[in-house]
Amino acid sequence: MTQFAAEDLLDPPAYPDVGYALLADRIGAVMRSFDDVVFVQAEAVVALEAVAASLAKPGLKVLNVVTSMYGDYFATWLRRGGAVVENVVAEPGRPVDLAVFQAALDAMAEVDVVVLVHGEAANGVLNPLPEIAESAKARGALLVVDAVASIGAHQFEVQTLGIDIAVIGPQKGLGGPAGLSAISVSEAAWAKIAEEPALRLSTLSLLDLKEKWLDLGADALPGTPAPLEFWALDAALDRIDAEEDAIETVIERHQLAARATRAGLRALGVPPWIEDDGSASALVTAAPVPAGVEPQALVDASGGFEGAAISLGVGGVEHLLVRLNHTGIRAAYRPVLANVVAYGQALAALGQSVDIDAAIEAVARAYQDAEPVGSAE
Amino acid sequence: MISASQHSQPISKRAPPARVSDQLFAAIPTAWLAIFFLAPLAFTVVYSFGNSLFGAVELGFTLKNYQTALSGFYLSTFLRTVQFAITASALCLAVAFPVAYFIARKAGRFRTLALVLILIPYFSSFLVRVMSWQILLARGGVFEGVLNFLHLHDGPLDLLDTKTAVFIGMVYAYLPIAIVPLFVVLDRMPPALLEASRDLGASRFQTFWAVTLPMARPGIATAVLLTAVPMLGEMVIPKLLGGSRGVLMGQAISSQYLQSQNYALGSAMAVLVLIAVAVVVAALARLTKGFAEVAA
Repeated sequence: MTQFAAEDLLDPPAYPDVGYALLADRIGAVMRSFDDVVFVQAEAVVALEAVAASLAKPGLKVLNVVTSMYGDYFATWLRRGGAVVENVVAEPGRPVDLAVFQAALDAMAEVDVVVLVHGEAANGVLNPLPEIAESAKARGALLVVDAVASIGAHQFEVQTLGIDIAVIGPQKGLGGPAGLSAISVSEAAWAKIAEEPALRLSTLSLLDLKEKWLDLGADALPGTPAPLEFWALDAALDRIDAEEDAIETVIERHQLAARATRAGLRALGVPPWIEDDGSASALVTAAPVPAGVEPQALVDASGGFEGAAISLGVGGVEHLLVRLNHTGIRAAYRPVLANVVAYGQALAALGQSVDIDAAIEAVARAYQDAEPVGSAE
Repeated sequence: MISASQHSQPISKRAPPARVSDQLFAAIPTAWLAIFFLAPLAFTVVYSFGNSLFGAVELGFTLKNYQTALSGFYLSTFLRTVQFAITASALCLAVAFPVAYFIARKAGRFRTLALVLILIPYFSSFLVRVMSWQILLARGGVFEGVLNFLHLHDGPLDLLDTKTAVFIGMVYAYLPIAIVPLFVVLDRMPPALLEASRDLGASRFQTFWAVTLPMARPGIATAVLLTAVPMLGEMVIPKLLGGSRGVLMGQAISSQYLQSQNYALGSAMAVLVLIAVAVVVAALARLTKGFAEVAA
């Protein structure tokens, strides 16, 4: 967008009633889900709270993986509804240790639900979803996954992994609007949600969404839907579908951005915060804050570099890492290069020894070696 | 087997011997139909009973896809499509009949010119013709200007991306192919029959109702067949004028194949449309049943 004209957003036509179900189907395809998909007309954190509020019952036994503040939030919401929550808390800014998770799971005599954040935009973590899904399924537990910061950046297959509830927001990897989120719900999850005492007459009630929309033919959404958000989601999905391999192309573009960023950091002489490539987010790359460097000073020093987007880690890791953002339309050569160079220059300005030329070459080589990925530069 | 061959002998004696070249000529369209129509159709039917994977189908036998296609949103889309096709076809007929009647009975030496004028749009691309309606119906477009000028509407007109726009597009696009068969039957109708009706004391309306309309049945049936059947699967008009939001079944099926990648459900929905087409064809066959004998 070269110029933004806010007045163009005035008086938008209503999103057609017949469009919501198709939109839900398309979101389902992005998640690789044939389950029901419902919309929550708010940012994804509201959808997450809706899931917790709708699932929570007195005595519900939940194993909750905590790798950022969102895990903490989820536990709080579940406990508010009477659930018994066991947290598996990872090291700050690190993915959950599978052995620790398995031990916690084994220690629970009974487990109804396992909750996990797939990818963390707050600290650049990617949790081992396939392994955790397998363990959860082996125990017959429902699996709830927050995929807000992984959809469009990593393979995410609801059907294959047997995920019962998946929450996504279009604003990150899908390049869509932030005021709307979607939840895929399996039959087993609906049954659990419908168990009494079930949450009803609440903006957080998934059962209300089912009974007042899905069960009535998935036509007009209850209330007054925000047309701008739905049109924007529609357009974002059209943009994805216009790619050669649709969502696969978008995922590969994020993966390439992450590979290039990580190659750039290594060439700078600063290993990425998470050294294992398979445990790192492809939306943001966490880069360490070296000893003796003030985190905010590092972010400020990188701020003047045009095209870069570097920010502090969030949720107790502010002093440990900064995040190089390559999400959505930023998953492209120039933003990635700008991020790496800005980070390198900021470190240099703060007295650290880095090799910026080598970093530039590494990023360029990563893009040169890769197959062309979709329409992005 | 023996009796069958015995029965067939007298017939084969009467029929002229089929030449090899005739059989070859007949084999080409038969093969064409078998490869490009029947085989894909068979795949569609088989897929409709399979289990969907993303972008693939696991062959098997399940009625799950039909259960989905006949419930909730998909059922309402199917019913809406049938309703759309019937209504738009009826509208086409309502507009086409007087036009065809006028050309056949009143246009005199201008009838050829009138027919040419009706068919001329067919010389341009269907896509271009439908897209031109986008310009006419758009906010700030010609329609809005005319209605505002005539004080029939005040302010911006949001016609594009609505059902009304789809109806307008459907009637416009299919009107000529409704007019032609009606023109043919009305043109061939013996004037003596109408005169006899008038001589026997029937009013103009009674003559129309009791003579013209029944005699025009084959033309009406053909017009409905040529409009309602393609309308059931129409995808371009709803997409361009209805806003690409799954207004009708064609768009919904396309979305299942191209966007949602649920081929099994898309196939089940396609089979339902085929069944609807078969019902329309059977109903029209019934409408014209016995007409040949009566006419003879």
